Amino acid sequence: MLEGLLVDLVPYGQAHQARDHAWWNNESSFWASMGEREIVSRAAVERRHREWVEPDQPRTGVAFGVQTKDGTPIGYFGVNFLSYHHRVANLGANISEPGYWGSGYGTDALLLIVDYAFNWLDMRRVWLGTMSLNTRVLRQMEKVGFVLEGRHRRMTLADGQWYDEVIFGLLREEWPGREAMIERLGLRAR
Amino acid sequence: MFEGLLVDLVPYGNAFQQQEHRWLNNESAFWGTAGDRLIVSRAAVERWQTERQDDGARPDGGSIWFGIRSKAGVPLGDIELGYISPHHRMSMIGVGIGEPEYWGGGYGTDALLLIMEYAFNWLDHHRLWLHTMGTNVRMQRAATKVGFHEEARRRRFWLADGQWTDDVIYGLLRQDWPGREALVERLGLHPRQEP
Repeated sequence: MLEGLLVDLVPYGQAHQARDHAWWNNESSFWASMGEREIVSRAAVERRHREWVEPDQPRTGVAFGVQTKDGTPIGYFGVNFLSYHHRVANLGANISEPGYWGSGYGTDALLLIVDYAFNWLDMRRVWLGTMSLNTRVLRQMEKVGFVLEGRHRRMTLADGQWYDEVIFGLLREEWPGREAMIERLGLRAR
Repeated sequence: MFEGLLVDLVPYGNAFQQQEHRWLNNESAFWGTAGDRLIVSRAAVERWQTERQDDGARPDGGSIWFGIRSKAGVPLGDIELGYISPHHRMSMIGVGIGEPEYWGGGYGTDALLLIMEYAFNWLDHHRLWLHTMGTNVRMQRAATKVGFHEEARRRRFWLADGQWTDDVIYGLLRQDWPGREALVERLGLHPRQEP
């Protein structure tokens, strides 16, 4: 378990799976994907979980559940497309309970997973992409010090419009460490 | 079959599969991937080919593979559309010319123009993209020549031959595609004597 100020990252397990049908069908999956509007049955969600538990290929990532300090599951974070050879990984983030948006829960989880990627997995570089419509994530990237590395024009069809995909990267030498970031952002338990 | 000036794109079949063991172990694999130096057995190559066939049969598209064949009938390499998204109407181009003596002669460019035309006119794509490592100047020149724009540079992404090199991503929107004929003319592409 990775302990933060507002949330902990725990192994992705039953408590999160049980919430997944509600999460996939709510607004959060639109923002966490590239603008997909998922309408999924319980059976489909269970099938995805089975594939996740028994993948065809060796898994190249680490899946965490995000829970608040009182143990409420509020989403999941992952290290994906992990390459031990190039020591590069993609980060995926989803705070699936809209009531917890905009209050630092996602940022706290992000600081934890970046620290884990650099200090435990020995990555040299982490990166992520989001659609240009997702201003909450764009703001967060700036706050946490990710560098804007590119813009794929009109990459995704979301709600009837084409939007760009925006790519951010962070090199290990640009990361001041979790403690320093907490101080800079004034993040505290509440 | 799609007929070009220097090459044709044909179904990726036996004639190409037989060359893969050699292609994957020679220098072309270094450039065709992002700096991987593959040392692979025949058995591993055969396993990959089986997996690739399964992937091509997926209902959501998966990938479409072509063999690149010179006008004289020599199998030169492969070119494919990967990560096909029917919803977002886009895919990624992957390409490798496995025979180094054919490099720099326009064969890859001719193949690119054919697969781009196929993606826009037959698959109704809205966008194409590709990526390569920062040290692959030949690929970057080819991408720019056929109209791709550099859209992203992921810094120090790949470890290749002891050095960290960027990942450079190129994109092309359909509205910026003038059509294959126009590009053949603009680039002055014409048939030539093969090596």
